[in-house]
Amino acid sequence: MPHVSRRAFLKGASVALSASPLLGAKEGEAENAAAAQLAASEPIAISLTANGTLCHAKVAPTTTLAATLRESLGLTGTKVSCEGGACGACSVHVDGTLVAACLTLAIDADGREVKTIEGVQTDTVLHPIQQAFLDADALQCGYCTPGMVMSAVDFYDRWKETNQGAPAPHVVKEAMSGNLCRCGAQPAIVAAVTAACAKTRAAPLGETPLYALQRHDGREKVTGTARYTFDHYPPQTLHAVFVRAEYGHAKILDVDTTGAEKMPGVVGVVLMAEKIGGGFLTARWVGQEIVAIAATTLEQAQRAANAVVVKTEPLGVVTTPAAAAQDGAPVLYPEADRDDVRNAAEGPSAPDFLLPWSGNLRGPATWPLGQRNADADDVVSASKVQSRLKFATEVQVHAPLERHVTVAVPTDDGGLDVYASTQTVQILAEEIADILEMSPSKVRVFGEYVGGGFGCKAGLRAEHLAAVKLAVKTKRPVRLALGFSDHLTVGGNRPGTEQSIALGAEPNGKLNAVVHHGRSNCGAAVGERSTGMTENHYRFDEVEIADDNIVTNGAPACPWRAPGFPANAFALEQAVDDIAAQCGKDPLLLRIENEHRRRFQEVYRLARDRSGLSSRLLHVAEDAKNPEMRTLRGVGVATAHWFALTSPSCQVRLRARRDGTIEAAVATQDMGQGARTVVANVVCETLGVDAKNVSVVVGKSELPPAPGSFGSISTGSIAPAAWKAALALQDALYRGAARARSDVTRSERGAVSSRGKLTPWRDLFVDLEQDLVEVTAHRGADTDGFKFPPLPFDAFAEHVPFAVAKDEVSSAQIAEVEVDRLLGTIRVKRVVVALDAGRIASPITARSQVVGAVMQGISYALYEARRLDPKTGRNLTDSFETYSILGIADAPDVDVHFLPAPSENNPYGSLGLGENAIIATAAAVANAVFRATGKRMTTTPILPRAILTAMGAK
Amino acid sequence: MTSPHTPTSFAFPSTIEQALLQKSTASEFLAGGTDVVARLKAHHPSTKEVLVHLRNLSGLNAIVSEEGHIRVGAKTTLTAVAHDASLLAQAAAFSEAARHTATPQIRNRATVAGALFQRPRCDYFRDVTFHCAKEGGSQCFAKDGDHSRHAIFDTQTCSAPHPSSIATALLALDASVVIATVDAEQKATSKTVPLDAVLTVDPKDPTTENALSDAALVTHVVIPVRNTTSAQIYRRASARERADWADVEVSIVLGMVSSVVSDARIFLGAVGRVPVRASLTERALVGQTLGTRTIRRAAALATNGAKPLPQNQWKVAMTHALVEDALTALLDRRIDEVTP
Repeated sequence: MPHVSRRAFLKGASVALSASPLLGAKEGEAENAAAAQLAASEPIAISLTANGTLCHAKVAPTTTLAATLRESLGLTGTKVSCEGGACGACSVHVDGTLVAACLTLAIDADGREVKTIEGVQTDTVLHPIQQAFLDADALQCGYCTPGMVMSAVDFYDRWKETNQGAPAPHVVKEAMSGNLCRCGAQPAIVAAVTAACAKTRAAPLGETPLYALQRHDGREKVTGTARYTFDHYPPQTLHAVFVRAEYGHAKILDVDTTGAEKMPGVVGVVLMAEKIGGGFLTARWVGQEIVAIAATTLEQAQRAANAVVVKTEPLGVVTTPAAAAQDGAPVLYPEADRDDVRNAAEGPSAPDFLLPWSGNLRGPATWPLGQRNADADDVVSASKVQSRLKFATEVQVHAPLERHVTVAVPTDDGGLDVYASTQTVQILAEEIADILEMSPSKVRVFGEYVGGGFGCKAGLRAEHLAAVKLAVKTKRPVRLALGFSDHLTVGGNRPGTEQSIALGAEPNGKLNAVVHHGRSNCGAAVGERSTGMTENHYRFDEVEIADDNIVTNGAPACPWRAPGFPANAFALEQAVDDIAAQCGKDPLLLRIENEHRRRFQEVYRLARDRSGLSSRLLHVAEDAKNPEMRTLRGVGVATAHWFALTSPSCQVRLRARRDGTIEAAVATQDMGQGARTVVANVVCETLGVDAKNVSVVVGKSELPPAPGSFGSISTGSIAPAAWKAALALQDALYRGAARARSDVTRSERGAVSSRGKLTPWRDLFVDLEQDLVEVTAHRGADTDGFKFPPLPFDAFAEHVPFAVAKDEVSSAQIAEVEVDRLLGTIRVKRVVVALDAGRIASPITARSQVVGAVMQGISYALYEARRLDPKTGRNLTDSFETYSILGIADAPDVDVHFLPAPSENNPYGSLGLGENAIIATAAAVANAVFRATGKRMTTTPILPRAILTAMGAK
Repeated sequence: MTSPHTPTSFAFPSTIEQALLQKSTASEFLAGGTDVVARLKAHHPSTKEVLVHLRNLSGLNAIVSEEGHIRVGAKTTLTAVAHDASLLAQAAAFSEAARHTATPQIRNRATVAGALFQRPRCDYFRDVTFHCAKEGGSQCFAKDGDHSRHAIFDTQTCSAPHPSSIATALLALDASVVIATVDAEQKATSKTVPLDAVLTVDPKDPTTENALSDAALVTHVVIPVRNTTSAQIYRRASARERADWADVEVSIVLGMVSSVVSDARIFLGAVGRVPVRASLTERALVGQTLGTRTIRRAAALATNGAKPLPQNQWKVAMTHALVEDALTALLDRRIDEVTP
């Protein structure tokens, strides 16, 4: 075998390829070359017809079709995520066959017809599937959408040929089962595909109120024109990779990059594991960043990474709380190293100085702060009804479909433009400016389309740090995208927990006391609590809460939608269900009777009344009692609360023109939760203008300030600001009208002439005093002040400090499940959600957000578990084949009911709901499983094997 | 850092002879690519120097009914298998197993031979940093680590379960494979070998995955068509409804004379290094009329000889449950009964 260079073994090699027709390349040339052997390193010319256009490219035989379409032909509508054929984001049609382009070699598309998302519509007319996705709001972040549309079009075409009418749901689900959606649009996707096949107009799930705009950026997402950070390949960009720790716990003795720096194509190297004051950080998790290398091609960067020599001294690895707590266990952070520990920022605990360390254990933090309430346990023990249960929840990774990616581009003025898949454009810009000691005005961050985040894309991450440092060092654009394995390993995770809970109650269901001890495994980090919800959810007479963290050799946790609460609810709400079952009491009535907050009671009643399931809420193991019954049905309930965080200093800017168009701008982010649509909905409704005349610009740090997209802070901040800006624009329009027409008076809907004729706002733009009128409005304070006003300083959000409003967001969820007694399979049939987030600022996207949270909650309850090898700390679940998330075939119907009452405190009446909606789901599912089987499921994920064990199968 | 493993060349033979002449221990066949390309992209140590791309081989993707059997080309996609009318009529377990494999996108590319002879999906084997016994290393890391989804039969040296769903069905259907090799004159010759003689491993040799030689190409699968009444079924247990690897899977073919089981072939998947024949279950059924009690008794014998590892004891109960489920489905619905 002749030695051939390995130059072309990575997709990065194709960056060098030209998208223009190549000289001398003829169609079928690869076919001719085929007679002999083909060196894997030698690019060969291929021709393919992409969406009707003949295209030529030179590709290495190992290059995938996905890479060729995106990087050589510029067709970035085709997304890549898992790179292993499991997520379907890269789905395209080759000669009319649906394939995963990430596992299809480009040479196998030679001479063939390839259809991508860019070729689905006809001119400007959307394909019926695209239109149906838009009409049903069958998407959120949109990153999976091109692949979803390609699969749906494939099914639609085949269905049309042979069938009439609407396909059954299970037929659609089977056809779409090769595509994963992490945001949770599955029910709407099924509805969209079904409607398109039946040639009926798709509609959003549930009842749609009179004023509800379609997703404002939906068209860009269903057509593949939405440009995500992952789609940015600036000219002359360098590609960066990390050298990472391969073993879970080791002292780094030396890092030698001299060999790597001399490798071909290498332009810059930065150390990531240096310790302030000299030496190196200890490697405490697999994937920890040690060195970052930028080279002309990704493949060169990879090869250089292989040439870095890292000398280490291995230490013992502990991957589970049990192993880390053992006597003699390796200690991750000896006293001298405690400053190295990262805060997962998963939940406010107690100040660090109050929290003692003992080996790998930090804490406990007790609540009320610093006390241990010895009475609580006595009260539980003295109670006539008691529940004492122990729970354990597994680590859940975020796994947004768009991997972590940063592209840092040096600007002419010595600053940086940073394209980042981030939930926090402004915070990130500040943090980068801080680190580089640059003037904040010189760092701009862009994240216009974000392919999911769920918490893991907040703030500064190692990828940002490496990319900006390398860009400054090399004075060249630098692109750093995580590989999928790394994305699932270090991309972010929700801590695992171990909890014990004791509840005491009266026979009538009145809750007396709680003792809740929680332990969180944040990997090599601290700062999580699994008891935060227990503090405020019920009014107990006596409360004892203690919470500690245990550090293990896993990647550090970071905030995951409703940090701490889903695990907390999994325990607390099952304990309350246990009490309800023991008392023979309707679990929703029990909660209503224990509730003192009027709006909470109303929400619980709304769930109960609208579910149609109230007669089954009392059942426990009704079907299971009959040994002939194989399918056991159960209905379970859980409730939740979340805070109304808000940013009073948030601003929205409107620019109106005489042609009737408005541009709204705010530095928020839209990861699919619907921020653009919230702004558009508020502006359009307030001014009576058509959505097509309104553009909404978000995802740029230079825009008027807004908070990061986390903690359900956005809607309660940007909706009031947008409303106030729209009112200010009304003022300007009225001034123009008053000047142009002498005899008008102002009304809510426009200007009224003395004869009583209304000219609506939308018709007054022609009278504006200038062609362009700009207004900017502050969100300002709540009507009646805040529960906790913004702090004068705030480490997490410096220039948009946030307040805690007096409102609370509440919800109840009712899950209906079927458990196969024989095989242990659990199918969630339906989930009913009632939720109070005040006035719903964007009804269509809000409903989608709730449905998505429920999907993620079911996934958490039934499937998700990150597994680490106990000896090395390596992630055994670093693909979508090994890390299971809910698929479309597992997705139930979801009914969402919003409490029709605006918040009394928020200026616009709207609160955020992203966190609240995910909290109760896993607990409701677990309670439903208990109600079906009579067996309490105390660990996640609730796999079929757990059911078999509980049912005593042999 | 591990050094990357990557092919140095591709070959595109247009005849079986050419394909076989390219084949050695340093090369691997590539057809649908759903396994080979995934390993290639991961720079997995199993990636061979030469990839022998079979796209120019013609005549290997047809499903043909012939006297007494159905002949399925090795390059036939799983999608074609799942929808073919003759297979659905005569070998429904095969079609069902194909339909439950992976995703539509994968089934559109994955081939019958590729699905039969894909490399195992063991987490440790797939992680490039573990040099496991299967790759010539000294230990099975799963046994000392996480083996919660691993095999419960014959795990002395390797505990990677066989990943192929269609293998269980083809074994239950008593299928054979046509294997082409080249003789001394470099002429291709072929022989037909029962699949159960090919899907065997040496329990003491963790590197074996089947009995195919390095210089052999499977060109067809041949499924006998019975001239007596039979019933067949493929079933799987998995947490998710679709697009999941099976926790346990089973294929059953029963010969039926009136309502009495005359013969039985039952193969379990995801529990052994190759599909495991449930011989005692078969014996407990032959000569019996299917009934609840017979089914339970037979199902409980399915794991005879299993030695589960500490974390996968659950697979024993799951296997019993699944065999009971499959036999009950045959009883309840006379599923896929084939009458010639």
